[in-house]
Amino acid sequence: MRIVPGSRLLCAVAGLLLATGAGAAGDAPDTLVAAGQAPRPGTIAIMLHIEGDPVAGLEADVATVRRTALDMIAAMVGATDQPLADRAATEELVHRFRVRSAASLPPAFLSGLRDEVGAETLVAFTLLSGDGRFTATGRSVATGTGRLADIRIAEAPVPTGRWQHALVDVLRDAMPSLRNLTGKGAALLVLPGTGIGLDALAARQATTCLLAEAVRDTSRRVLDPALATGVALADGRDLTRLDRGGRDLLAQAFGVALAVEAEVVSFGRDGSAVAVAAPPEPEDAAAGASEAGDLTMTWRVLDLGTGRVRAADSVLAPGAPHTGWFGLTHTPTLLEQMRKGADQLWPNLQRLLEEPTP
Amino acid sequence: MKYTRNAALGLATALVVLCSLAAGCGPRASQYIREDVDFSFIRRVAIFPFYNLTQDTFAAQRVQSIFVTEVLKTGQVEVADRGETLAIVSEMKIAPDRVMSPEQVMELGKRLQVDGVFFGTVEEYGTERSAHDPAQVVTSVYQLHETQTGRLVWSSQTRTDGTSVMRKLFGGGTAGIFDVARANVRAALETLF
Repeated sequence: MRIVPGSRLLCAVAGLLLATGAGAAGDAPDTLVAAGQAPRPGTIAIMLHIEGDPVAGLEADVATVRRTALDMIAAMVGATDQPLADRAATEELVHRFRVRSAASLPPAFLSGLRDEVGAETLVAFTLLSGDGRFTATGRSVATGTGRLADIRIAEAPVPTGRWQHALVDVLRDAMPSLRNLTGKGAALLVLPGTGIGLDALAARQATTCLLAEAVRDTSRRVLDPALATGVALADGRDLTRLDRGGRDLLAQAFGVALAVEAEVVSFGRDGSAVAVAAPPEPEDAAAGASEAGDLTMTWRVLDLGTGRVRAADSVLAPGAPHTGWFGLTHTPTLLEQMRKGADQLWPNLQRLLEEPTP
Repeated sequence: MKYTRNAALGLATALVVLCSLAAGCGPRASQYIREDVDFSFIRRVAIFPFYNLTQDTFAAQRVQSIFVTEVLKTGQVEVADRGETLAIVSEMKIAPDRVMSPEQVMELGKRLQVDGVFFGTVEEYGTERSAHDPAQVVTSVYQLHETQTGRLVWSSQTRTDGTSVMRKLFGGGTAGIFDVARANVRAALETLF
């Protein structure tokens, strides 16, 4: 039996679960900014993309999950007392600029959000379903500057018949902060990460983990990698094959001299790529180790002027089960491994970036 | 007094034997270095995508990822970005699995503005089950060509496995594949830098 869509009810549930007072969906129309009207300060546009296999193990179809998630996000934004941009107008822009993923944001799309919808901030969510859990990534981006104000990633198991609760949990934990949108620190461009032995979504999650560490340093103006992808695509370039012209393009578009490349490598037990949205093989589950095995996370600082790698560092995030108190064994998820790796990597990167340029 | 001297002699002999056994299970490398080349002139290098001769689809990329970091850690050379290397290789229409001619190496060096190009071939990667205990094994060949003439100036074939006498004596099983691959790369680079 499929769950009958009940977005208003679910929004109310989300509001209650969030316990934020003004988070009910009913508040949204009072603060909504209609398309074409003069923008109000702090206006927020919301966007959601669903990836992976959204119907695996769920009692709802993709459209229901999407509508429900968007309503929940709207309720959370409403709880911040900041005006919400017209959702239909935002959707129209998403379709017009063919924004098929939050991993690639054309500059013209952000301009459109600012000029046509009146949004100062874009809150973009990516929801991944698979392996019996939801993984959500939420980011807040200033439409005027492309600054990444905050990015969070969260995962939650999906109990049978209770996907709405899991959705509330994961969206709440991934809801980005709406502060730090106007800082003036040095710009830091993080390029989309590459994965070896992992699928593209896993590489993106690794980048997100590194970005989450980066945005905590409020003295820096972190630029969203999705913008770099958008700029490169608009110019017909591939960021994985960044030649002189591509480097010049990024340097001019973002006014930066350095870019950070992230790489995550799975040293799993076999040669097949590990997909974050795929259920584990039965024998893997029996073995108890992480699906991806040991991971290494690497960053490289690329000098956009010369094309040389200025520095690199790498850490190992083991995938072996960890035995804790009372003999309880915990096998790290892929995301936990990535978080651990990013947590260890960032201090070294920060130290390097503070050193004067040779 | 005589008893003490014998005990010391026995201990020393045991240590020598133990060290010999342990050393015998370390990385095994055979290398070639061209004598008439001044390596101090090789300051900027590129790393060509490694060749993969194993069953593991990602073995070459995994070992290359470690290789790049370890080369940079030596601090001896500058490394051209992988993206730029791939872009130029693509422009030159060089198939990733083809062996390059000296002329192509020279052309690559000119376009990337590098003094040398590293090549690598991963020959073995994974679990070796022929022994009593399965062990992780990596065997690779690493080469450096200078780009003035395109000739080979350094080559190292290195085999590393995850077993050692110390591990067998004190437990712990085989080392993980990452540790083995990193030890393999380091053993090779030690013969160059």
